[in-house]
Amino acid sequence: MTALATSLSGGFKRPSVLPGFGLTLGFAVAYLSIIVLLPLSALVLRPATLGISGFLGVLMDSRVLAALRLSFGAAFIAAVVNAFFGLIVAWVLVRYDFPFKRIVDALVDLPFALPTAVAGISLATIYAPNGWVGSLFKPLGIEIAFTPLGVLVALIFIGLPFVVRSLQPVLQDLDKEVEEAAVSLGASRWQTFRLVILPAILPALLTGFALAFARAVGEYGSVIFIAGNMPLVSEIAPLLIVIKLEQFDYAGAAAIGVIMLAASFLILLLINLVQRWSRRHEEH
Amino acid sequence: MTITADGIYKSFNGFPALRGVNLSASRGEFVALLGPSGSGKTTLLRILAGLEFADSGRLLFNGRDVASQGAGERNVGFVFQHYALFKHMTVAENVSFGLRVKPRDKRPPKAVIDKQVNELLRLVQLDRLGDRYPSQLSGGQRQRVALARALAIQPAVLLLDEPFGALDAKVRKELRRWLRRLHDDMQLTSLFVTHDQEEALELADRIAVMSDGRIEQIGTPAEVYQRPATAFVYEFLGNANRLPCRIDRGRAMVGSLVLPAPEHPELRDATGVAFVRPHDLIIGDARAEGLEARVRQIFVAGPAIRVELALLANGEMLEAEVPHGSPAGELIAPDKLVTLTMTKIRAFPDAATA
Ligand SMILES: Nc1ncnc2c1ncn2[C@@H]1O[C@H](COP(=O)(O)OP(=O)(O)OP(=O)(O)O)[C@@H](O)[C@H]1O
Ligand SMILES: [Mg+2]
Repeated sequence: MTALATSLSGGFKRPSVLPGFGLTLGFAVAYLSIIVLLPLSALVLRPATLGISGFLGVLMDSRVLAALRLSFGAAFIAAVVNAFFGLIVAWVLVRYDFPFKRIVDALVDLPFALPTAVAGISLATIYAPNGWVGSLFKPLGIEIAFTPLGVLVALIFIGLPFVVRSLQPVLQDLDKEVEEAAVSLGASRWQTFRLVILPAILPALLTGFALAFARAVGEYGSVIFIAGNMPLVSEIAPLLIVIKLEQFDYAGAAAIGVIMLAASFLILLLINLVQRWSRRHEEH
Repeated sequence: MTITADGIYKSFNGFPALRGVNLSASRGEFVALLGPSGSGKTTLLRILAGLEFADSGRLLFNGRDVASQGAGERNVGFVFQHYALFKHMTVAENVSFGLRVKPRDKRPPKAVIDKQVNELLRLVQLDRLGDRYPSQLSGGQRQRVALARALAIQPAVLLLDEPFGALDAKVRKELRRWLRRLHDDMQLTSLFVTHDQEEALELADRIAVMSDGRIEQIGTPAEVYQRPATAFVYEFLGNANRLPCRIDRGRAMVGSLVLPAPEHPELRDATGVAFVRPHDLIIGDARAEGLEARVRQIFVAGPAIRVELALLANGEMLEAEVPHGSPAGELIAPDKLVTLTMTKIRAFPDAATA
């Protein structure tokens, strides 16, 4: 393993005061292979029985396409919404003191801790047309539960902690003097935020965004109760996989899985590249 | 720009950090704020910059009250002790920041900004490093970026909080001379914080010595060094030996020695302390008249021989300096008994008897 690590490290190892590069890299590669790559390769091999045309056939099915579009679209919008409001929540929690701050802080983790089915049922109950929140929107002609909007609500709910928890430590560590320097150079509050604070927290914000997005794409339990699961309208891709499994269409289910896997990987890779760019001042 | 601070008081959660500070600096003056840690130097500077607001007292810039002005409106350049550079911006972007955030109607066109940034970088001798990030610079270079950034807004007042604190002795010396020239060329009014007395004495037009939230004395380096107003100032500027004494009608009695103390003609038999600088202590033969003391340690390295002595009377440790090659040098050896005399002391009565 260390031999592998050494040969791998040949081109890009930089001398470092911290020892153990070869050993830790070897361990990380082996660990990821067993925990992540092995099950995934089984998933990728499964639809091979379908052949290329069979594989494309599964994909071109309009029901599958609609489900994929909903899963990725809603996950993306939910992650954007969470990035925005999560930033505000984290900001308030770090910057201001108010009564019951600890309790509010603990509340942020709840979507994490709740069994997803419980979350899904409660969300469905309150957002249903006769529920607390749903009944407020009904007169406006807006239905939330059992529509794509309901899917979005559930995904926003489960994604929030990722953004808040990624940002909090970074906001905490921001140097107060740097902000003061900006202010004394004549920057307005908004300019200080946009030009000084935001670039400093951008990598963490992107991390939170990527985590919230990834979780939302794969989310199942909390969504299916509120979604209504109407084919072509409010049916998410993970549910479609389950349906195919129940019909013993293992290859079809795996085909959808592979597509989700590839798309998620590409998107996360893209986020990673943006993140790298946002950290460009740290390296060299 | 003239600055006048009048009775500035500031407390943090009941703890008084400034207790009635009066200070003024006239146009072109370079004033040092000197004082031990926690004496309120940074707090005062931050109040001048508008980063903190006084509980009471008045602050005038050119005679106008600036109490209601925020930090951005005061046209003050502030150099932070730890630079506070914008890490994600290049050196040039850091320097141009103050110009780029100006309101649209006052913002110079990009070409003008670029030109000014280049001039500033040349001024602080960093003209080739405009594209680097702060993490790629040395401490001294970062310091100069912070300075260039503060100068970019063409401030009338420059405030520097321990500008050389984190630098090694040699770079410190170079930078401070250079800063003094810059101050003169640009006709700034500058205040800088330091707790290095040598730096203050060398650099400043006037020194304000602070202690416990107050200014103990303010004056030219020569004034504060030669005529310290309080015991604190005497002890803080340069090494000093403390000797208990009695002060009576312009004379101070230190042990068996009677020395002139012309500052206190009015006192009658008051207790106090006499201070004597190490180079004003004269070491004599054991049989001579004076305070008896035993030599403890001798340090030969340095511009003069440093001798540590213990007074026989009370065991107090004193420090003396003897020029290399002087006759007194013959007298000293470890554990040897000597006598001490002095010609120049400065006596201060104890607070209670004053
Ligand atoms: N934000 C604050 N909250 C509470 N106390 C403070 C605050 N800022 C300063 N103080 C207190 O006020 C006093 C003066 O602090 P200040 O920073 O002005 O000292 P200083 O002279 O700059 O010291 P140093 O040489 O160590 O920098 C200190 O006792 C400090 O603890
Ligand atoms: Mg300070």
